[in-house]
Amino acid sequence: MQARFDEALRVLTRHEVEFIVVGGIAAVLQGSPLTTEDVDLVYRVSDENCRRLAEALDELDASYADPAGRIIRPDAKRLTSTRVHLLNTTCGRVDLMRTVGDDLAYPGLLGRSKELEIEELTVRVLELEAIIETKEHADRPKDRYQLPFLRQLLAEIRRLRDE
Amino acid sequence: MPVDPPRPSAEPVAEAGPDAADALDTSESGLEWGDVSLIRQKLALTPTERLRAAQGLLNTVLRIRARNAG
Repeated sequence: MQARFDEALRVLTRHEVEFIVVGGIAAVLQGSPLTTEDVDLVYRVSDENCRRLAEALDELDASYADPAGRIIRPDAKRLTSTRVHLLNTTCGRVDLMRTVGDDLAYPGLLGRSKELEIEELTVRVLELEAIIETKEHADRPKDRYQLPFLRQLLAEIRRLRDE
Repeated sequence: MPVDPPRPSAEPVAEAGPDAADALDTSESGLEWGDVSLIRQKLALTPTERLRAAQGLLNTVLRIRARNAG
């Protein structure tokens, strides 16, 4: 399986899913040198958006990363009711969340996100300051490892802005 | 990312003084100079180029893993 996160974002956009890229890929898009094995997304939890998301995930042949190896497909009902969805897709690993950090959902994250152009796509991405806050909140070993790089990246961006 | 080797120059290159060395100090974040220069390389790219680079690296790792699995 090849990671094709750009294609996953393209499919989601084509289905008009409302989502924000968070986590490692959001940091990569803003200049982080750290690589990651999945794309993390927070999506708007509404019946209409969950229906669109389920259709996009069907196109991506998504199934839950089940340790027992069962093939369990996400559907609109599960997307509405369950908080975290760790999915294998034809474009690589896609992790979907209803909230991130200190229980921040899509509407609350909108003001802390910005649109980035990726080829012909316009994708909404969590701002670096907010990514840092979510990682400080999560405080897992991998977050603690990443934080010095992300803080340095933020310092560099601010330095370039001020030049 | 490959780095161009220094180009030979007929002009003598001035050696950086102690002030330049101070500018490399990143001790506050605990990062080495190599990490900071990597960040600057990434900032010189577009978001599309950054994503492609990350995907390319990940796919190389995945290929090596698959080749050595089992």
